[in-house]
Amino acid sequence: MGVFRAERISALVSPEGPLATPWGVLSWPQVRELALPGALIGLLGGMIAGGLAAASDLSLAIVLVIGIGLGVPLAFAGAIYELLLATGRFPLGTLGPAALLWVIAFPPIRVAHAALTDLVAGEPVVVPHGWAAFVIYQVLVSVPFAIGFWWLHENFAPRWWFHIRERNPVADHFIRVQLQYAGAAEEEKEHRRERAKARRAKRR
Amino acid sequence: MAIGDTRAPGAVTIDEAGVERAWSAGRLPPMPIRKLPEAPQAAHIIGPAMILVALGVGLGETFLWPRLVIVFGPNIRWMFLIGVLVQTLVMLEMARYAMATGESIFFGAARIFQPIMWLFFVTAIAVYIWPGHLSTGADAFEELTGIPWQLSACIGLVIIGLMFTVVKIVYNIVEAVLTFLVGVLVIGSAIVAAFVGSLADLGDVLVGLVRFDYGVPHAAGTAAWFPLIVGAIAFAGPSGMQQMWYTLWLRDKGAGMGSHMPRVRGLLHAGEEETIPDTGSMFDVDDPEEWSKWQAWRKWVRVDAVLLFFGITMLVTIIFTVMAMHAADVNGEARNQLINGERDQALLAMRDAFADKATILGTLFFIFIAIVGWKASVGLFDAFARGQSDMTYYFVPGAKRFKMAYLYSVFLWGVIIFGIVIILFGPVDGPAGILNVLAFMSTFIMGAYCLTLAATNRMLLPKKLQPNWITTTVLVLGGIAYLGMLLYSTIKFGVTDLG
Repeated sequence: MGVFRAERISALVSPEGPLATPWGVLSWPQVRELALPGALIGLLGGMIAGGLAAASDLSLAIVLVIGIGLGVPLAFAGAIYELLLATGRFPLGTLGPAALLWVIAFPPIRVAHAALTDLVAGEPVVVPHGWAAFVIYQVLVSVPFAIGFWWLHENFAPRWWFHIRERNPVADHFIRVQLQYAGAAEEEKEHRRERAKARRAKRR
Repeated sequence: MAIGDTRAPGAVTIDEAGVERAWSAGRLPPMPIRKLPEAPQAAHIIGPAMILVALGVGLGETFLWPRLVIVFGPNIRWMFLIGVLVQTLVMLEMARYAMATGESIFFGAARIFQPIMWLFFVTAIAVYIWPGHLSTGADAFEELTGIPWQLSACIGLVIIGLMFTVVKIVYNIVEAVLTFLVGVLVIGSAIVAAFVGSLADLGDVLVGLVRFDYGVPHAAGTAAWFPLIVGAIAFAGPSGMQQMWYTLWLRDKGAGMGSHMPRVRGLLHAGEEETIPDTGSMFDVDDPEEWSKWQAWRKWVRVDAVLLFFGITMLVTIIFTVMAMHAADVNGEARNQLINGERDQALLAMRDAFADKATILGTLFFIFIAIVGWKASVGLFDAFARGQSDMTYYFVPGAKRFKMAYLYSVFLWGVIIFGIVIILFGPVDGPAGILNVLAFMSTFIMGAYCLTLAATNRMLLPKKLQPNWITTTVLVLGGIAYLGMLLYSTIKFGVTDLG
């Protein structure tokens, strides 16, 4: 996967809007629409566990805890990923930053979620095999979660950016970068070919 | 999205005498020399390995291997690693032929000896027209919703048929749907694992993958377990003819010389179909520029195979094994059902085991099984129709009068209508009297395609493109191993069903 490095950012907060990016200051609606893909994919993770609670024989309180308690924080973290991309702190297109985000965000979300679920259920807050093993395990599980997140993001977020590019400077930039990157890759290949040709001519 | 949206046969190249250059391969007309297109940046555009993941991560990964781990312990998983590594190599070799020529492996087989291709044609019909693969997912859906599985399976079949009929390019919709489902599967598996697994279980499974010193357990040589273990190794990752169909998806993706071949269109867009060349084409391997492009294509497909296919197959299987170990730990009934090998009962017991922790997890588990079943069916119906229409178009006399989209639709709707009739009135896995034959053929074909692939890549490709001897040896040994173990199981134990 190619790495698209953004220019360094000068300021993150601007008096003209909630988020300043190297490609323009975004209004709240622009921030929200930019954060949407990551938030939806994060929410999907929570929904898989939480939204389906309605189909089970659990109390309403537990259903809400499972649904909202997991879905909302995962969606929030997914939205943060988008904003880190928008501000140029994360490069586009690489798995590493997505994995880093989820390795940091996923374990505390799961710890809080497990504790909250036990509290609402009126049970003592405990996890099997102790908290240390639990946290380490959640760190490891966060990697496949990150891979799934990244996979969906890479395949579906660009379609959304394309859709909003005319009203969102960051989305427009992302699309342009991807197109430019394709062009640059072509150019690089052309240079390589020319260098190889020159080397062969020299040998003769 | 396919690489290169415009498809054309490519510019003609001529030699010094003004004659069109061509590469003679086997007994069929030579392939004209054309330009190899530029490869995309590695992994920037995902390849069809993802479809193979969607088809391959199925029953073996979600049931067979978790079951073997419960019975023999996690150290037996080194055999799974070997199975997937061999399949990854086979995949790379399938890609070598398809990307170098733009032809399917079926066409390659016909170049060597046409009856081999007809064997694949007949086997595909015999093995893949039965809608049994729909039943596991549909059963899980019935458990969840109470809707009879026959109804949901029939509706699912019609949806698949309509989807592939109305779209412009069939490959694009297959890729989009399966990309989404595989993403959901990975995220969902991780969420379930986050709830039900433990560090100790995960550690055992990971270490077990490389415990080559564990060897083969004594019980593995018995009639009860030998066929199952051999089947589980053979079916680690894609099974049956899935690897062969991969060559057709590569072509529609536009990989290598496949970019000079038209893509399969939905029936409603048949009128837009481009002219189909009589054969694939070859590039000039002695041109350094072309060779450099080829190296880039190989890099692209290696990333596709290793990251997507190998990585995600391992990931999902590890997660499902951790889930099964947890189920067996907390629920004696689940352990017993897994050991007894009653698949449907074991899946139910695993669901109950997860439900002990939280009812939602049991529900969730069945949702996954439903997704696993449905995503495999989406790929299988397309693959079957794609493979059969390709062989029919090129090798049934008179078939070239029809557009590929018409032939594809005939096979697609044929298998769908037959499937609906069988779901409503017949045995979904095939008639009881020939079940053993079907099971035998399903494994036999894997041995056959390994040997065919070794032959096509050594006999039909220019020397510079041929695989090295180590790769060829692994293919030949893999083919002999598949066939040998199948015959041993059949003769010694009278068991042909290795699944």
